[in-house]
Amino acid sequence: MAHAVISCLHANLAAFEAVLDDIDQQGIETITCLGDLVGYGPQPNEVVELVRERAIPTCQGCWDEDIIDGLNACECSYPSQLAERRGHLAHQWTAERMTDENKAFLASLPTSLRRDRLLFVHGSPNSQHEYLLPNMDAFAALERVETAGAETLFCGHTHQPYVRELRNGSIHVRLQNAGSHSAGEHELNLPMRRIVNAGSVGEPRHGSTSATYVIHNDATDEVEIKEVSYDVGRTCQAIVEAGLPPVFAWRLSHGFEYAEQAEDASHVCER
Amino acid sequence: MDFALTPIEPTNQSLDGGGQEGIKPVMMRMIPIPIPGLGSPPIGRGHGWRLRGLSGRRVGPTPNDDHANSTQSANSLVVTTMSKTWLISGPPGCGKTTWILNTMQSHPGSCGYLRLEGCADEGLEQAPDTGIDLAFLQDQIPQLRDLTDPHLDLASQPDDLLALIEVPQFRPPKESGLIGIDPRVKAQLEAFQLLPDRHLHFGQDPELPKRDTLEFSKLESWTISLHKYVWDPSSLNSFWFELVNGAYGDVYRAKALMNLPDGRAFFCNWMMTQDGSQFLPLQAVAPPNGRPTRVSELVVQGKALDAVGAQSTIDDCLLNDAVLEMHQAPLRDRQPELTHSR
Repeated sequence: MAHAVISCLHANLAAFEAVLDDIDQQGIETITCLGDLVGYGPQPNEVVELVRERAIPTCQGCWDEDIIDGLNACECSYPSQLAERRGHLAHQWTAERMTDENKAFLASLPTSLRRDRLLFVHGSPNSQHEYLLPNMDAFAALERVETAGAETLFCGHTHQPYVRELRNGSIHVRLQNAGSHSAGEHELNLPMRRIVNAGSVGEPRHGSTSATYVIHNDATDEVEIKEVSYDVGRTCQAIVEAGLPPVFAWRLSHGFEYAEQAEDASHVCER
Repeated sequence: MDFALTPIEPTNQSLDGGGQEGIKPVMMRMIPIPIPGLGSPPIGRGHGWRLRGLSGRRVGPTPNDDHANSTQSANSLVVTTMSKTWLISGPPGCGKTTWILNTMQSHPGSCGYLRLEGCADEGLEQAPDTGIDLAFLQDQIPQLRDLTDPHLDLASQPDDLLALIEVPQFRPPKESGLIGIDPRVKAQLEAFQLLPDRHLHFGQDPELPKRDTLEFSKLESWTISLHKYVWDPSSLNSFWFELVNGAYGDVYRAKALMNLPDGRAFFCNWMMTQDGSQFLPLQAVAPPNGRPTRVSELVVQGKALDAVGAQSTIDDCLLNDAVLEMHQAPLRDRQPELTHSR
């Protein structure tokens, strides 16, 4: 049975509706959302309410967490002072406008969802703020999947959709005890593991303005990355009308993310 | 009677003797030609008409004299054929300053520079002179003479002085050569007591590169002083990307002199016809002791410019005193080896 995975909606209602339409047209009934329902975009309440209305199982993203708990990461999360200022502005704007009921919904979201050997998280099993980039060290990537007890890990956060298969995972351990001349050797061969990044519905970072999501077929284990064009102008107009910086609309309309990725995207703030 | 110079005898020798392609010296003969708007030289008042940027010697209009020697006439303009005072005009972004820099760097003698205010035309707004071209050129050529300096005694300057006068000009002159100088430009030249012996216009004179010479029908200008401001480098990168890609209007041309927290400054240069931006570091590095005092400006030309939006972004990119101090404190220990200032 095919199911859809969506992520990083970022309060972009037009994009979310277009993706839902696309999913509905294919007769797919199961949708899982990987969080970041809000942040930067102009329609946080509308997007959260649509997720609730459709009863989409959702895990909490970093923006969802920050809206509830307040900004807790240091400036290391941002690549520049400009990005940090814009991020804080968007955070304050969103926090001020969200209803208590919708905030409570965000607060209720789990950090991960599991279905058999499929694991759904926002960033990584370790943190909503950790980026699993497509080019990250293969051993580290394998460790994230294996230690979480998953065969396929679905994540978002990077806004770059990809499927990464981790084959031939082999860990060779040589253990020598003190006072012993012989060493025990162990080799652990892992079956193929996979990381599937759903990209972003509301804030693409893959070179075009289209929303992305993925379809996974449980029966065949096939994964398809889907691109959906939507009325970007509608969201841009809503950005301006909401009083958010017009440059947000400009960036969205040109396929540029609101804030660039941090220079060291693998860094996770420990604050 | 006013006089202009007309070329009579091109030679094959390059200006600086160094074989610069496409630029050839022209021997000048004095021919009395009325130049509207230039006015009469103030002969008889004090030092009389002094050609700043030349050697200051007076040469009479002796039609048979094609050489550099001085002759004087009571009613004549003063020019020397030894002089090299050129007026370089062209539309925004055509490469005037770059060409001037290259020409000066290949000139074996001393150099002088002046940038005149460009004249607006219908629908075409000129950017005011912010001083960044001069600051950049002075950084690259430390001995450069500023021709606006009232203390500069050009009479005592060497004969090999190459004085280049830059002026933004949208429309090509109706006539080539000195006779085609815009009367409004002539008035400025007169105020500085300067008279060029050549006038070259980008897009018209083959000696100058032709690329990036655009014809504009409508142009707005926006300038912001960034004096003493210091940029967060990554933020500057983001802002410049947004600026030249149209986030704040249809930008045709942007140039700036920007300060970074480590004391460096960059001459940022972008033109819509070019593939990318130039970021040219200045040689002079400001000491890590507070805010730099060098000229710092941003000049943008284009259509439907969003000055408010750009200003808002710029405000988010500039460092406050505390952050600047965080950058400078570790640099102070290494100051002798890392910094020097002019």
